[in-house]
This record gives sequence, structure tokens and C-alpha cells, in this order.
Amino acid sequence: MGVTAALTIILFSLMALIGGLKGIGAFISLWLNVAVLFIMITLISLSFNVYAVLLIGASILLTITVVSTGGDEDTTSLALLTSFVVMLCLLVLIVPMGKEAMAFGFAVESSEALEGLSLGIRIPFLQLGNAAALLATLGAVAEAAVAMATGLMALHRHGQTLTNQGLIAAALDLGRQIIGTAVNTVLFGFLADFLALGILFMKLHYSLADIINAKLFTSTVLSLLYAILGVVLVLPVTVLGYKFRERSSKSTK
Amino acid sequence: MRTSTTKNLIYVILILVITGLTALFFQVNSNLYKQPIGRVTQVTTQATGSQVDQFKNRVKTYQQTVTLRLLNRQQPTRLKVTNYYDAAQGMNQPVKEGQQVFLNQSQHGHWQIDTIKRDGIWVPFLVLIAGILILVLGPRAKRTLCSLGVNIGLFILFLWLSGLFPNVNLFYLFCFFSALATIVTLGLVLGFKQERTWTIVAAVLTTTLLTLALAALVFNLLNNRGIYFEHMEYTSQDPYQLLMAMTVIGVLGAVMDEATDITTTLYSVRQENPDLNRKQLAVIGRQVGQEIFGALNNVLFLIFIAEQIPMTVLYFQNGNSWPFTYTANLSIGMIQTLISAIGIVLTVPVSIGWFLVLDHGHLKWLQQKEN
Repeated sequence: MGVTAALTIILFSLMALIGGLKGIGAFISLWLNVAVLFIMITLISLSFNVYAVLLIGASILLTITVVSTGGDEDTTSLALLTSFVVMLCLLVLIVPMGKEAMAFGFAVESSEALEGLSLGIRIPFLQLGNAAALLATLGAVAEAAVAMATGLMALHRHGQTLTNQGLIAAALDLGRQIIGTAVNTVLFGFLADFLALGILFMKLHYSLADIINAKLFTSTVLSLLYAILGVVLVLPVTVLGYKFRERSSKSTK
Repeated sequence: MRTSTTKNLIYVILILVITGLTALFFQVNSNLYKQPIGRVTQVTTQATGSQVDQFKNRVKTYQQTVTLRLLNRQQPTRLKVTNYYDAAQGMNQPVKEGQQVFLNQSQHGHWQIDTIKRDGIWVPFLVLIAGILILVLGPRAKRTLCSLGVNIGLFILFLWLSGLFPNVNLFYLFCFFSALATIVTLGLVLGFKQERTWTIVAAVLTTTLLTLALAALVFNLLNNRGIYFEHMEYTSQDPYQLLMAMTVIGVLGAVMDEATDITTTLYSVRQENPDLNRKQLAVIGRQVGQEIFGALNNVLFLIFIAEQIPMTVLYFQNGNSWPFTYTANLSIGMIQTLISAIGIVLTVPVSIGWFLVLDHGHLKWLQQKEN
């Protein structure tokens, strides 16, 4: 048995033991996401349009992550709406930024890993870099959207007496707490990603100027910033989505 | 309401102005760099045909004649260089007019483009994002930005230490970083004098240690079967230490997030209903944990794996099979994801445990005092 299989078994046992049915749901959603991502990579490698695969795949990833948290229908639909809107906002930002920063593909630091590989492939690395940057933000966006929607709908149900203004103020306060912790989760994830490269930079005695202009450094920093922006955008988008839904449900009545 | 709208508007303008000024600064700061920097004044691009590899990947190739004005050297003021790239742009990239590039000069005096100057893009973007954070977070912004800044500062400090002492065990070094980061983050966000801060610190450190011990045990029992250290990227020293260090750091934020949620809820529930017994409290803690751990797993999974997409696609296009491509590019990320997920699940019982131990002791102590 390999390490991956052993860890999978341990994870499943712990999730079932500690999380019960919800834990098993979380375990399944993780593996569904693995499957979706692997299928996306295969399709991109088969030269399907990168952005088409990205949009469809990203939507499925968001749906799996949001639905698997097992909220009620109102909460889930609000969280889904929010995460789709935020994803589109991020995509609209990432595409021009990617082209401007030219921080995609590989650099001299990767030469060992690239040995024997031909870089002249049919798929532009700009598109692959943009896809990677967007996908890395999605988990954080979905997590924040679920937390925000759950909190807002709970306030909505409990606070019948609250005026709409009071409800929004309470939701803003809650959202700020959520962003505060979510931003940290994202930060440490990216620090872990950057660790090996950072140590290599130190070992090679790169100067500050070398580091802050390096392709691979810039691409990590931009990914981190996109993810933080995604988490932050969840707050206003959820509140707007909620207001919009309230207004349209009133007008249908 | 009106005044707050005006205030926000002024604030938005202020953010944009500062972002613009930062961008401007990086357009004119070439004298701060030792390496020669040139601004591209003219580019002519020529198609030079195409290139085919053994896997029948055909890419168009290009050659650019680039005229540059040197910004931080007296001599020469102007020069011409040639820049080659292909349509995939995996390593070499085209330049465009107005861009600033770093230049190298060979011993024979031959100039060539080293890399594009990128700090003028991401630093202003960073300023913009920080501005948006302050705008959206309002009164909470100071603490969040502070903890972000301190953590990044600490991380840089420890990276620098790893360069200073190249023989030190990376894993222990970054364990120390993790402990410091945990205390600083939670202290800044929740307050150093709060009892719950230290309950959460205890929970986070215990969970992290437990998770890594479990991972190390599995690695040892299975003789690292299925961990392809040779395929880890940018390894400069012991890859085992590096993998463990990466795992500690990666899982830390998520564990803090979750432990904070569980413990904060337990403290507030305890305050509202002091009569709840330990079992009832444990059930509540477990419910809070169940709500979030699925989503947290996916956050880390996507961060760890998404980065590998370009290399994975490159492997496929170079005629490699799925199993080998997985082994070389995705297996390390999956192991990291699984260990992190185990940590995220273990956070639930450990947080509840520490809360019960510390809270219970606290109550007993109070009772004794009253008697």
C-alpha cells in the first residue's frame, strides 16, 4: 500500500468518526473535486478551448463545494449565486492582468524539472497560467460564500423584528469576521506553495530586485491577491444578491 | 447615510490616487536597481517559421528587433537587441512598446533581455487590494492587515534564516515559524489577554503536531512508498524536510480558522447557557466543525493542485501517460491535501478537548475561590 492510499483510508475513518454523515459527504466532495480537476486537465491537454473548459469546470467545482456543505435551499442558492458572480469578476480581472504581468510559464529556476521536455506545445502558457490562477481562488471563494450566506440567512430567519437596515449591518459585521479568518487560510496555503521557491531564491543569493521581478514570484503573489480579492468580494456580492432576491420576491407577491 | 456615501467616495478616490502614484513610482525608479534597465521604444516582430517537436507539437516562432532606451546607465543611451520567442511562450516572452526590461551584457559587450520588470505591476495591485480590504472591512481592517503583514514579515524572516543557516533542519525551523505565527495571528485578531486566545493557540499547536506525527508515522511504516521526492519542484536540500515544512505551513491557516470558529462558539454558548454539561458542549462543537471542514479541505486542495496545471499539461503534450504525469506532478500535492484534510478533521476533537480542559479547570478554580 502506498502513502496516498493509507492517508486516504485514515482520512475517511476520521471523517466518518468525527463528521458522521456530513463528514462522509465532505470526503466524497473532495474526491469529486479531484475527479473534476483531473478531467479538466485531460480536456485541456486534448486541446479543448482552455477558457471553455475552465468556465464549465470551475462552475462544477463551485457547485460541488457549495452543495456538499448541506445547507438549506435558500442558503445554497444564495451562496452559489455569489460564488458564480465573484468567479466571473475574477476572470475578467485575471485575463488582462495575466497579459500585463507576463507572469506565466516557467523560468530558469524550473530548468531541472523541465529537462527533456519540449516547451513548444499547442496550448499557450498564458491561458494555462490564467486557468491555474482562477482555480486556486475557487475553494476560498466557495468557503466564504457558504459561511456568509449561512450567516445571513440565519439572521434573516431569527431577526424577523430587525429592520432591513439592521439586518444588513449585522450581516456586514459577520462578513468582516469571515473575511478576517478566510484571508489567513488563503495566506498560509500560498506561503506553503511558495516555500520551496523561496528557499531556492535564498540559496541562490537572489537580490531583492531579482526576487520581486521574478516570473514565478510574481505569479504566486498575483494568485494570492486574486484569492484575497475573491474572498473580500463575497461580502458585498452576497449582500447585493440578498437584497435583489428580497426585492424580486416582494414584487412577485 | 449621505455623509458615509461621500466619505466612501472620497476613500475610493484616495485608493485610486495612491495606486496610481505607486504605479508611477515604479515607472521612474530605475536608479534604485543595479542591473541595467531599458524601456522598449520600438519593436518589430517577424514570423520566423515554425518548430516541431517529436510529439508533433507545432509552434510558430518569432523574432523581435527591439530598440531600447537605457534608463539607469549613462552609456549607451540607446541600443538594439534581438528577442526570440515561440507562440506557447513557455520560457521566452515577447516584449511590447513602453515596457521596462532588465538587461544583461555578455563579456563581449553583447546585450540581451534578461526579464520583464514586473514589480511595477504587482506592487500597485497589492496597494489596490489592501485599499479594497480597508474599505470593505472598515473597523476590522487594522487587525486583519496587521496579522497579514506580520505573518508575511515572519515568513520572510524565516526564509532569510534558512539562507543564513543552510544546514539547519527546515522542518524544525518552520515549525518554530508556525508556532510564532499562530500566537501572533490569534493574539492580534482576538487579543493577547483573552483566555480563549490561548485555548485556540493550544488547540492549533496540538492539532498540527498530532497531524504531522501521524503523517510521519505513515511515511515511516510504509517506507515512503508512493512519495516521489525526486519529482518535488525547486528542492535545494532534504526533500522530506521540505515536504513536512510545506505541510505544516499550508494547514496552519485552515486549522486556525476552524479552531477559532469552534472555540469562539463554545465560549459564547457557555456564557449564554452555563448549565450545559460537557457532553452537550461537545455536540455543539462537533456541529460547528462539521459545517466547515468540507469547504476548508477544498480551499487547500485547489491552492495546492491548481499551481501544477501548466506542468501537468506540458507532461501530457510531451506524450506522457496519466500514471506517470500524476506521479511526477500531482502526487505530492495530493499527499499534502490529504494530510491537511486529516489536520482539519482532527481540529474538531482537539479544540473541544482543550476547551473542556481549560474551561472546566477555570470553573473549578472559581468555585474554590468562592468557597
